[in-house]
Amino acid sequence: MARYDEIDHTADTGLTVRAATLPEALAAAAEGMFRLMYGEVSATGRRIVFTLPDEVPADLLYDVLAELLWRAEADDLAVGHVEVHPVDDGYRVEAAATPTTAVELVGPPIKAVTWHDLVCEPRDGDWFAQVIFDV
Amino acid sequence: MELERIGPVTWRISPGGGMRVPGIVFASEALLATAAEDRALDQVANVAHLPGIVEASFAMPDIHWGYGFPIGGVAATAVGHGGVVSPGGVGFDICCGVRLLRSALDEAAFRAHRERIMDQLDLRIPRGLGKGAIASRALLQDVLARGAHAALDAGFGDRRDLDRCEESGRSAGADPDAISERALLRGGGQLGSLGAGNHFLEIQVVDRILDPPAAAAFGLAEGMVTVMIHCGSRGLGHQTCTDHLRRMGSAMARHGIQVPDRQLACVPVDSPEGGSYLAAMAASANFAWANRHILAHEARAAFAAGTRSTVAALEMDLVYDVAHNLAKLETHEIDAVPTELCVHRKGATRAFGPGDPALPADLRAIGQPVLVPGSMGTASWVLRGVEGNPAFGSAAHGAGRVMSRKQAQRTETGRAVRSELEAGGIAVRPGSVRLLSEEAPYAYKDVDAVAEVCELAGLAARVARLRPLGVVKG
Repeated sequence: MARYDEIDHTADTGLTVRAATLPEALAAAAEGMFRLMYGEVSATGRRIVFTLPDEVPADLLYDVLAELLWRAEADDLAVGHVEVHPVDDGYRVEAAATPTTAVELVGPPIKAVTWHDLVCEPRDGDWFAQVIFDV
Repeated sequence: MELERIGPVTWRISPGGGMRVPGIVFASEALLATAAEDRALDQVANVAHLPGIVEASFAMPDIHWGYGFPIGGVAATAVGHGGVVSPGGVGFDICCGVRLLRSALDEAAFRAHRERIMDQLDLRIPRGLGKGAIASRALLQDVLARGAHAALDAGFGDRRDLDRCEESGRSAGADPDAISERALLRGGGQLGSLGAGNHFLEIQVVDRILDPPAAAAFGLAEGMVTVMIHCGSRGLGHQTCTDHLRRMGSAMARHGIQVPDRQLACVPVDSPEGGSYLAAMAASANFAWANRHILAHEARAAFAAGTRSTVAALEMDLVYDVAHNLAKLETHEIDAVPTELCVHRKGATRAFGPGDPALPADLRAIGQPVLVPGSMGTASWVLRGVEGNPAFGSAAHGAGRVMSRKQAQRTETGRAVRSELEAGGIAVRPGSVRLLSEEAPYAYKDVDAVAEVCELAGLAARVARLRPLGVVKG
């Protein structure tokens, strides 16, 4: 069972994530990023789907989050459930979403995913991820 | 981390490890103590690793923990001598800044029309989520090339606004074609919107003048109602920074550059990647100059409608507009030799002193207005640039956070914060009541102390203190 915790950062926000597998860690980080902004989101049939090439885990984490962030903002969507599946030479990301007009902000909008203190690695038998967002 | 006191409000971090220059922090003991509670001082030291950095990695009195650079960080690199440009030294909200308008209203006149003015602002200032923009997409390309000049030609604002805007509201070297399609899709429709987070429009009254000649030159007088607008380049700037950081991250190895934090990714200013970033950064800055210009136009219209008067009668002239997230090519003396530098100001305001040719003629004898917003329940300051500024003509950009957003939300509810503000005579029009608690006065440092340290450190001199009367938040 993947879980995430919010990081207490003075100016910005962030997450730490623990999960059994890399895809689960990526999905939990993505869901957590949107929950920081919108809380629980009930998807209403809108979807964001894309595939990213395989790369080192920290870069993969960064790219999954940054890709979702720009796609969601460009289409005025709030993301709820996220799944990440390994495919040939990469990962397929499938996010269920709803228009932002149907949700309320519970935290400041995230401007960007940062490289600062970015971690995604196996740790103590699980996958551990950490990311700071600019708000 | 070892700090050596080298002046009443000046502290030195000696070069160690890969630091190329020392760190210099301007702070009182109290402000330094808050900066030392998190990792802001480590970030001052990290910035000192940048190739080509000269003199020092500076931290302004409102320093706090950021990502890569500290918020309140200033670093200059020598162009053509290996000096780098780092998007992390600008931030994702490229050319985020502050604009201040004066007015013919006093506090009593404002209070007489307060609810109507606030309702008009509530109606006319798009904020929070989504597009909700005032300006059309058709204007976008011209704005990216010409900034506030394009907005003026489209019917927004007044020509005098350009004279009182840093860079005249148009950053040099902008290339609209350097802005990615992703950035256009994400933020192109947000022109003329405030956003959310710590961005705001505030109605403030001048409650104290400390430098009457400078205040008069800026058009300010005690008891005058003013309007302060804080916002930036919205999603377009956020995506531009994201795009270029990714590219620089992979280009650094080719340039043989290593940095202690990936968010400090950088390339030589005179490299193709550096040139591409600066062209895109300038176009994003143009978006931000135009954004504040358009919002000021709407604020004037809201005041006119709210007071059943005219924009002309309200005399809502621009005092000044300053950026606090930007890298600029400037010439400063290094060892008495004029040297072209790339000056990064990340959460720091340009603060040029008297005589600087970059200032408008009518302010050249006084120095540049420096706008330092505080929290929505305390105060803001207008300072002026002074001669001999020790940090490449830079000063603080705000109060600086002292409490995380999570802590702030745990301390009080947004509803409670709103009640306290209204009990203090401050009208509130929040985009989200819940988010008010994150921006509550207790989450910020004492802005009066920040302004005082700016003066003691020779960064800028205090001119006027502004007290909030109303706030429109994203």
